[in-house]
Order: sequence, then C-alpha cells, then structure tokens
Amino acid sequence: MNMKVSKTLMSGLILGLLSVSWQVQAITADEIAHQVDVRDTGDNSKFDMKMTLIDKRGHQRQRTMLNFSKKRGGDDLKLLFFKTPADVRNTGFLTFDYDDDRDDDQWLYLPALKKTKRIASSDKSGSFMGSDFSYSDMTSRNIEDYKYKLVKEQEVGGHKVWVMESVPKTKKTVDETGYKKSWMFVRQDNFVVIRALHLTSEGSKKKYMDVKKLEQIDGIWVATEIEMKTMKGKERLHTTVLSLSNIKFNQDLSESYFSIRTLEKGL
Amino acid sequence: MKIFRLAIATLWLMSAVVYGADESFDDLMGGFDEEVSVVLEVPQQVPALQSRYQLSGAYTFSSSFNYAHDAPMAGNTDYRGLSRAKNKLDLQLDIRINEHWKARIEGRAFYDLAYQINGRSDYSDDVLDSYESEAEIVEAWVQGSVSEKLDFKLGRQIIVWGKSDNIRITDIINPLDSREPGMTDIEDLRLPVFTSRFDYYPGGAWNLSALIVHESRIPKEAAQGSDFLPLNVFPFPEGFIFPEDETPEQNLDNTQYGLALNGVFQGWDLSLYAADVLDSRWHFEESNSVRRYGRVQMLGAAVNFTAGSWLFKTELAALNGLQYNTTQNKKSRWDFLIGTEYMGFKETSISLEIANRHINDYEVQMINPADFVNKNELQTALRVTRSFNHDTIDVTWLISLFGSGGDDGGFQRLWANYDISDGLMASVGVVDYIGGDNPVMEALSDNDRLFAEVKYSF
Repeated sequence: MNMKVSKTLMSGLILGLLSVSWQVQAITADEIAHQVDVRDTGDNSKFDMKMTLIDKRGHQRQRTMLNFSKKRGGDDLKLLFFKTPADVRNTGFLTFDYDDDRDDDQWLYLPALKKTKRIASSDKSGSFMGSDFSYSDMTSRNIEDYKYKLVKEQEVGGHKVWVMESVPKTKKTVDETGYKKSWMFVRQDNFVVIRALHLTSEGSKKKYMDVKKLEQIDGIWVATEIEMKTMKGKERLHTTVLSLSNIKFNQDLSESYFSIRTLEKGL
Repeated sequence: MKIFRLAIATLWLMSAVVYGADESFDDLMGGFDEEVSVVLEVPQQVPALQSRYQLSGAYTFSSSFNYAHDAPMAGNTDYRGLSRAKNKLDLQLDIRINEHWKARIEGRAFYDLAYQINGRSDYSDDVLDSYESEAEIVEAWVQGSVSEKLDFKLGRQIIVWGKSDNIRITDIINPLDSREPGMTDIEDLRLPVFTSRFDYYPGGAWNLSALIVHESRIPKEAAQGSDFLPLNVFPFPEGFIFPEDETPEQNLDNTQYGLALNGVFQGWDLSLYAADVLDSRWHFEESNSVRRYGRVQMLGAAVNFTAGSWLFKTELAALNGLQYNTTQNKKSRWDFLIGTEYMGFKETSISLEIANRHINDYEVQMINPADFVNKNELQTALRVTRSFNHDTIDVTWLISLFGSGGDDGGFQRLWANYDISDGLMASVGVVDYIGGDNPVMEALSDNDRLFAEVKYSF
C-alpha cells in the first residue's frame, strides 16, 4: 500500500459546530461559509477511524487507525497510527499543519524499515491513502480562496439545509484541490456540512460526500460516518466510508506527545 | 448572412449551455443516495489494543527463476531455472508490560524447496547451509521510559541512521544480509544487533541517542559456490581454499559505540553521528587463511529539508580505520551523498540519490583483486513508484549503478505489488544485473531473475 501522509485529518473529518439560531432570510453565502469555518471542532482529541474502500465490483478493503489531535495556537498537530491491515500495522504519521502559508511538516514512520522519514507535501488533489478522499478533503480550507453563492434551500433527512455553490477564485486553488466547482449542503440548525458534491478538474468525475451519521459528543457535532463516492456519468467508480468511534475530546495530550519520539515508540 | 448564421449558432450554443447547466444540476444532485446507502460487509478488524499480548506475523511464499545463465561447466552448479521456492514464516510477539514499558520478540524461519526440487547434491554445503533453511531470533528487546526525558531500549534491535533511502552513508550500525543483493526484502535487509540504547530528550528540538553495541555480528554474505559469489574473478592460486569469514569474539573488548544528536525543526532535520563499530567489509588476514571484519570510526552528518513537493537530503561521513587486501595501510574515506525526492505528481514518488566514496591516500594497486576499488566510487540510485487503482497496485522501478555513467555495473529491478485483499499481497517482478568494468559486477550480470511472491500478514 502506498503510504501517503494525512493533512489535517481531524478538521476535515469532524464537522462539528455549536448550535446557533439564525435568521435565514438575513444570512449570505459568505456568512454561512464563515460560520462553518469557525465551528467548534474540539481539541485534544483521540478517536478510532475505520476506512472502508469499496471498488465498483463491491470488493471491500479496510484500514483502521488511531488518531490524536491537538491545537497549538492556529496550528494543528496530528498523530495517526495504523492498526490494520496487518502489513501496515504500527505505521505512523505525524503532521504539523501550520495556520499560515508555511508548508506542513510531515513524518512517516515505517515499522518494516524501523525508520522515520520526513515527507514532502504531495499533490493535494491526490488520493488520501487510496481512498476517495483527497488530501485537500482532509485539510481545513481557507474560505477566502472561494466565491460562494446560495443556490437554494431544501430538506435533507428532515433537516433544512442551505445548498451553497463554491468556486475557487484562482487556478492555483483548482490545482491544489483538484476541484473546479463544489456544492455544499449546510444544515441550518448547526452549520454542519452534511453533503457535498465536487466536480473534478480532470477526468470529468464527480465526488459525492455524504454524512451518514452525525452525533453530538461533549456538545460538539461530529460526523461519525462519512461516505465519499466517485462517479463518472452514472457509473459508481469507487466508494470510501469513514467511520469514527471512541471519540474523546479534552484528553491530556501534551505538545511533546506529538513528536518523533512517540511516532517511533508506537502504540 | 454569414454573421446572422453565426449569431443564431451562438444563441443556440448559449441556450444549450444554460439548459445543459440546469439539467446538469438536477442530474448531479440525483447522484446522492438515500440516507443509508452502503452496507459495510467487512467485519471490524480492530485488535484489542488493551490486550497485554499481541501476536502478529506473516507467511510468505516466494519464488524466482533465473533466465540468463549459460549452461555450467562440468562439475559446477547449474543455476539456470528455478532458484527459489521459499516458504517463510515470521512471528512477532509484542508484550505491553505496563504503561511505560513494552517488549518484543520476533522469530523468523524459512525453508527453500528449490534445492530439493533441483537436487541437493548439485549444491555446495555452504550454499545449502546459507540458503536452504534458517531459523533465528530477529528482534528481541525491552523498551521503556526511565524518566520523563530518558528512554531505554535493551536487546537485539535495528537502529537506522541517516536520511537517505537507497544508499547507505551514515547508516552503519547494523550489518546487512547480502546473500542475494538486489533481491532481499527491505524489511529483512538489516540484521539486528544486541544493543543498549539510551535516548535523552531535554525538551525542544533536540534528542541525544547513545548506543552500546554488545553483539559483534557480521554481515550475511553470499555463500561459496553460490551465483552471488563469483570466486572465479579472484586470481587465487591453485588449491587455494577460500576461507570462512570470522565472527569476532563476543567480549567487552569488542563492544561497539555510537552517538547521535538529532534535531527536528520546521522544514528541516539535522543529525550528527559518531560511531566506532565493525566494518561491513571483510579483508584477508594471516596469509589469506582467514577473512576478518575490522573496526571503523565514523563522524557523520545528515540533513534533509523540504521545499514544496521536494525533499532534499544530504549526508557526509568521514570514516577511518578501513582495511583492504592490497595494502597494509589502513585508509580513511570520505563518503558524501546528495539526493532528492519529488512527490508532486499524482500517486507518484520519484527519488534520486547520488553518492561518492573517496579513499584518501589511495594506492594504485587497490584496483586489483581482491579489493577492486577506485579512488572515487560513485553510486547512483533512482527509484520511481506509482500507485494505481486506489493503492491496490504499486509499481516500482529501482536502478542502482556504480561508477560514472554506470560503467562499473549495478542492477535494476521492476516489480508490482497487488493487494489481493487486506493482509494478502502478491508481487511479481524482474531483476536485471548490469555488468560493467568492475569484474565482480560483470560476473554477476547473468544472475537476472524473474520473481513472484505471495504474502499473507496476520
């Protein structure tokens, strides 16, 4: 399996925010995007993640991981260990995702080699660990990089949502994310993005992100099951389901825990 | 009229675009499924991390087929055809002693059916001893935190130094398994040594690591009579018996030492090394009646840094105490490496490393047997890996060449790994040994093989 490093994993996976009442008529697309961006996603967290990869014939592969995350100012510190499959067990990723324009610091520990390797930033539009999620999907986006338009309001699963169109302002953002246009479905009661549709810039593929389970843990909304499927025309090419469990916030995680020392010692 | 037709055409096109966009939006939104659309069929495979004991391992069946050998001369081993049908079992037991301490013991055993299939009598005893079967303890250690700032690890272990991936410069602590160069699985390449390791973390970016290596372990070399030890290139006198290599005594006098200072910074890493360890190369002693491994002293440094999708790495080592066969004088050597890795292409990584080993006070006879070394030994390694079909298939091409322009030979290897299912992987590939001016590499050039492997990890 090709081992590539996660960007800010938690921020993309945990789509939570505080419940806020809002006058629907008054809100603009930019304001919705801002509210989504500033939502509380928790800190000092630890959770298990199961990633199920499903090809178009229905053949499934599965990876399970243990994730740790901490905020340091505006920076995100991430630590991830593979638990299964057996051939990649104890492989670890350490990421420092900086709030500003600096490149992330990323290290990969390969237990077969007993070696920690610094990793350069890969193509962010590339697949995250073979899944339908790209690296950019796993990264908190800079909302200033997009133009937003409120398309319509509708109901999804009994909840009112805003359907927002977002278009990258620059080709650089298109190249980085691999998406030329997206639509996001934002729940009006809690500002969680529960669905998204992305049009890829290459290959005319469409990617559908669908939150299948949403839970409130310690007051924080968390998407605990997310499906991302890649379609070409009417054909489903591949699907990934991310399931989160044992989610704990406010753990006693020091900054020094997010280090090569921890990475190499493993779980 | 022409303009009119153009205007009509433009209007038609515009309307089509608008209509298409509207229709497209509804069609696009129809791509979402009902609330629950995916039924996960794979059962939870999360091991019980709280368990104190965890047993894991892998069974591997690997085979290789030599396709480039000529028919042997009478009395020599026929290395054409099947050269490997190896069954290998790895077992690893991890023990969580308490919150701060853990232990591991890993064993490995293999049996290669190829020798039985081809006829054992066709092979030398050394070949059978070295390649037919083996069982050994690989790693066995206990590790934990003595204090908040001090870690300790005792036992047979692997210590990797340096930043390079394909060429070793400062990575000199563990000996290598060189029985089948170019063919050894990377996880089997380094041989663990019994070591006391202390890691001190004063806080901040630095870490000091001290090693006391108690075990004098020598590399696993190609066996006499194997196709990877071309003794015919050495002009030994008639009747000369190529001696066994000698393992140094396990005593306090042979204790080896290492010290590493590692810094981790935003965008770059730095390591400084000092070591006094066994050399990885043998030399003849006592009138060529024994092969021994000397001691080398090394001062080294390794740096890597990133710039966008590029990773740059460099290593420098000053080695002292190197012994050769063609001179009585111990030599010093400068080893230098530069390398880069590019991750900017989708699902692809490209790595290039170039190293030079410069022997100080070089003597012209060192080019002769049994050293075959130049004053400057250049080595280049290029590795390209691309993943396909959501990481189901990885294809890698690795080429490693010696000398400028590869004049001294080397090898290239192309292989594909296919994830059949979780934990079950199949590999196929080909390795091409490239001849050149170096007589040893030239002699190995007909060892080309096709290989295949199935590995089940649990």
